[in-house]
Amino acid sequence: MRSFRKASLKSKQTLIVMLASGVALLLACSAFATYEVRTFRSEMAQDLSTLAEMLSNNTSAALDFSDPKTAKETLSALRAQPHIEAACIYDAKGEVFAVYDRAADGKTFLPPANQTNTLYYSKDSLQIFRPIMLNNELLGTVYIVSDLDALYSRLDKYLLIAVGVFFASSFVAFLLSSKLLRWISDPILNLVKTARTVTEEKNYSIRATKQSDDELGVLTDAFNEMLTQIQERDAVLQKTHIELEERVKDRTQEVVNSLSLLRATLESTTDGILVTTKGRATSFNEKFIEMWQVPVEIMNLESDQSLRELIGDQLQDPAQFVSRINELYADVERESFDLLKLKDGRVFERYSKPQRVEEQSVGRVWSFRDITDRKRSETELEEMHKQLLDTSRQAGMAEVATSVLHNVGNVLNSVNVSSTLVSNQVRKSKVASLSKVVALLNEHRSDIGAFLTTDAKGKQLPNYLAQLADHLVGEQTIVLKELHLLHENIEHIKDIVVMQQSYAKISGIVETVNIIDLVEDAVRLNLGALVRHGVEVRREFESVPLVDVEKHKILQILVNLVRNAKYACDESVRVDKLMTLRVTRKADLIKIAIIDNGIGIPPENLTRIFNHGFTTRKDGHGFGLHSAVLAAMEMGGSLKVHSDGVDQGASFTLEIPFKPHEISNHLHEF
Amino acid sequence: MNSDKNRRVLVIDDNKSIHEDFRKILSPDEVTRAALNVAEVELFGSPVNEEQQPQFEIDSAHQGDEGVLRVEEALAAHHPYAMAFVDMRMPPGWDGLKTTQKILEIDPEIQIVICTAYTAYSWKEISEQIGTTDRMGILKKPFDTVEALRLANELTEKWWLVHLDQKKTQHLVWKNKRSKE
Repeated sequence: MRSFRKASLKSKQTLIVMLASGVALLLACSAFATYEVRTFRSEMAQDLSTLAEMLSNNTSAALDFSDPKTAKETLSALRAQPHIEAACIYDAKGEVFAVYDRAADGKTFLPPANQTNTLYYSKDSLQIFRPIMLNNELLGTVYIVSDLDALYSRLDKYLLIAVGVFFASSFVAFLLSSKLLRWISDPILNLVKTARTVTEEKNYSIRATKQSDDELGVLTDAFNEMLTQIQERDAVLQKTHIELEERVKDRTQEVVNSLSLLRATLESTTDGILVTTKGRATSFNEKFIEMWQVPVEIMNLESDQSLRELIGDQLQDPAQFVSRINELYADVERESFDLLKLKDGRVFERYSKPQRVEEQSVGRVWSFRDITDRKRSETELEEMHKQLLDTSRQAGMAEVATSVLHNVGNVLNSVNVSSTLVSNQVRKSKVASLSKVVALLNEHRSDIGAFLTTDAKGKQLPNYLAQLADHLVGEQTIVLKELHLLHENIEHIKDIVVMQQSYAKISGIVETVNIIDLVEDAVRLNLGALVRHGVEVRREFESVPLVDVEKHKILQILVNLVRNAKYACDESVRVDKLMTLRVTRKADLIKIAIIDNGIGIPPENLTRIFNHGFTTRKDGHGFGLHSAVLAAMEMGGSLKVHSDGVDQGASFTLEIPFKPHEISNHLHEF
Repeated sequence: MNSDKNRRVLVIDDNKSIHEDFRKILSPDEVTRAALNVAEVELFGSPVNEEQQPQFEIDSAHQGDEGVLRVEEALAAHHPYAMAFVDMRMPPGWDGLKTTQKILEIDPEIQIVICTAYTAYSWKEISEQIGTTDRMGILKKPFDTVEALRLANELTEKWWLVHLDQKKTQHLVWKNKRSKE
């Protein structure tokens, strides 16, 4: 069967045709043979029957006359019929009457028991019993045995012919089929050949040749059509494939680029970076290696255990480090920020974050930053800040001094002018005329009466003296006025100087003061400017107890605040410039509010106004409020600002905690 | 313009007392001595203790922009100032330098004295910022009255001379032009 499956289509076809025609021939031959045998047998039966009939007729007389001899002779005539083996005649009683035996075959005939009218075949013979009748009276029975040699020889002959015909016709059928089957097999083989070529060469442009319009033609067309489609799809596939390859190439390049970028980024950062995945270091940069002095072999190990030990050994508190790492490994989503102190004095900041791929935590990124220098700078900065605090305190004093000098300068100008004016006035005074008058009168001492009444000059003299007196009074008034001004200005200078001296002397000393006096001092230091710029000062003072405070600090703050209020009013366009000074007491706090109705403070500046260096004045240096708020804080108090906005004025409130005055007067360290 | 010399002086300062000071120096409020002097000439032959001080006409401005306005008005009225004293620091408005710059721009003849209490600016810085300084001087506060008076005298005189010179030049140019025609 397997060999059949393997066999070529052509041989299969031939085999099928041969098988079919063979079977058909066999059937036909056997039908003919059967028919012939049947006909021959019936002919034989007919012949034998006729022979039996004839014998019965010929022997009836012998029987009737019981003459076996005649009967025997009659039977011997059967010798002409070589196929008759034997014959026998029974009488009416069934007794053997006469026998014929061909005896040529050597067999001894034994007549069988009498039977009535029958015809039957045995293996190699045909036997017949026929009754012998005469005038409807049964006289006996004739029995004939014929051999089947004729039948068999005939059968042999037929078999020979059948075999001959079978082979001859098979041969013809084979020849014919092999010729005719080409009509079918050739297109198929052609298709097969084409298909094989296509398969082997992967060449889809080959087409099978159509040889007929039958089903094979349709098959060829369909095959060709299929090839066309395959070719098209192949082209599309090829194109897609090329595109895909291009894309893969592009993507690969992109990945390579971003990887190198990532690498470069990783290396260019000043932080040490480590990436761990499932307890294993998967990525890190040189900085990390450098910071922790890690041998590269450790980084390539399967577990980060050695790395953790190496890092832990460098820390001041390894136990804390280990527990923290375990905590973070246990909770993959957690981010952390820690400070690591190393034994060698370095300080690192450690920031840890889960590494996520599409929302899934796959590992952890650790970044380390060496902040040793920053920590050091912070300490230095603190130191500097302290120094600055001192400097600004001195600067606050300088501020006061500058203000004092400015005021003194202006007053001094007026003093100068006044004194010059007075001396000029005195120098060119008409008082000198008096000596001339005296000289004139001395000249006319003898006749003073006549001189005054008759002399042309003398007559003018009383009138002149009256004018001179008026003039001198006028001069005196001017001089007095100037001198008064001079005195006022000198007093003013004295005040300023005294203030400055008291300020300079009392630095750092806790003194018992009346806050209201301090407020007044602050106003006095700015009085010149306040008057000059027409700022009205309103005082709203509650009575407050004497308190022990650092006087210079409070004064410094107040001078600053009053001056700022003055500037705020001055820069405003309004005419009713007003500064309100309010002193109130609340529990153990004294509140000093300095409220102006000047240009106000825009909201964005409210927070910056206390910054060092912040100023809105062209010639300001931004030290005043800064040092003021520092001073307030140093005293445990506060300085707060409020303003509703531009042109809405502003109020600064200084709150100072106070201790009611005690007798002890301790020195405060400055 | 009449033949009287121009002694119009503008003081620009935010400090009221400075204006008073200048007024006292440049325009002393004196009890009239004229009648007394006449009588003295009759009685003694000459006025006693008389020294002639020129009287200056003082105008005041308290801010830089106001000062520039005064100068403009005076120019428009053909009655210009011969000189101005300008304070250096005049919060909140323009400072002395800016004011000086503006005035020099609009008035081609005016002389300026900058008054300053501190040497916040050096002369070099001032000249760099103003550009031309041939019409400018400096007066340090607190100032000496004599110094202020001297500056007023000299600069009004200078103004007068320059003014005359320019008039003469103009005249010559005009004459030259006419003779050409």
